[in-house]
Amino acid sequence: MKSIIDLNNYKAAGSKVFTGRDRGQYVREKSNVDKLASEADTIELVIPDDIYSINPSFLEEFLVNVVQKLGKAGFWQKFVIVNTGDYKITSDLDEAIDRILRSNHALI
Amino acid sequence: MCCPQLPSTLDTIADYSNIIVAIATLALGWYIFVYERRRDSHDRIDRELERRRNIRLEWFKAAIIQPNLDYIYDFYGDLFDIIKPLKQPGITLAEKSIILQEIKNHGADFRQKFIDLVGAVDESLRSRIQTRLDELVDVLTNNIFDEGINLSHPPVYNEKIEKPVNTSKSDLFKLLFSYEGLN
Repeated sequence: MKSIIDLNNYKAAGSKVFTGRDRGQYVREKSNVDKLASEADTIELVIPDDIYSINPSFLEEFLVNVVQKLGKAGFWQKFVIVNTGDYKITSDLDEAIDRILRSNHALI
Repeated sequence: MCCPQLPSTLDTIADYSNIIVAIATLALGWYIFVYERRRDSHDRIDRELERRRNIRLEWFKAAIIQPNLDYIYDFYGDLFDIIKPLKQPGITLAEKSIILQEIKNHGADFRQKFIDLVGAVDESLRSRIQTRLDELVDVLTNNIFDEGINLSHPPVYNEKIEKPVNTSKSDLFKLLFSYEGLN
């Protein structure tokens, strides 16, 4: 079963960027991405063609639960990125995934 | 032969008073003993916590901050160089996108080389530093692509681009030097 999350549906009026943790959380909740990731075999994530940037701050909050659950390899197996505009999300997505998965070991 | 004198009322009161005073003195002495012991125990715990905190602070300073002080200054110095072309008149959207990607790559590099290292000592501090840096990148992103902002006008460039970077730098140092070694 395939699901689609189209970020065009979550653009703020007049905005060509996705930034901020608050916005990431909002889209995570509105899109139900956590639930879809459990139920769907694949998820198509559609990146708007006219977007200038989707920042790691947004992506980290948007995908935090999904990436923690699936891991990096699992994420890329489940998510198909549809990104036909000039802005390419790959490096920002990689950065967000790395941040989510970084290990934290305190010295003391 | 003299008749034995019966104890007077005053003598009786005095005797009972002495007993009461003796009991009260014992009770007070016991209370002071218990209180002092408890206080000494708390003092020992506080001293131990202080000792551990100082160890953590020393580690933080010696292993994380001192070796990376130059790198932090260089990070912001290089960032000012990256953003400088934004003030050119007639800069295109494509050029802005390239500059923003450089800003983000620079931030990712800083995260890997410094911010994650802070996380090895204190995750909460790491998170605050990362959030602060993300806020800077987000502000720059919004200002770079806001069509109502003319970055080629120097006061606007200073307000919308340089000032957030300067504020981020001082905020970072504030966070680092206000760290008290506590989780």
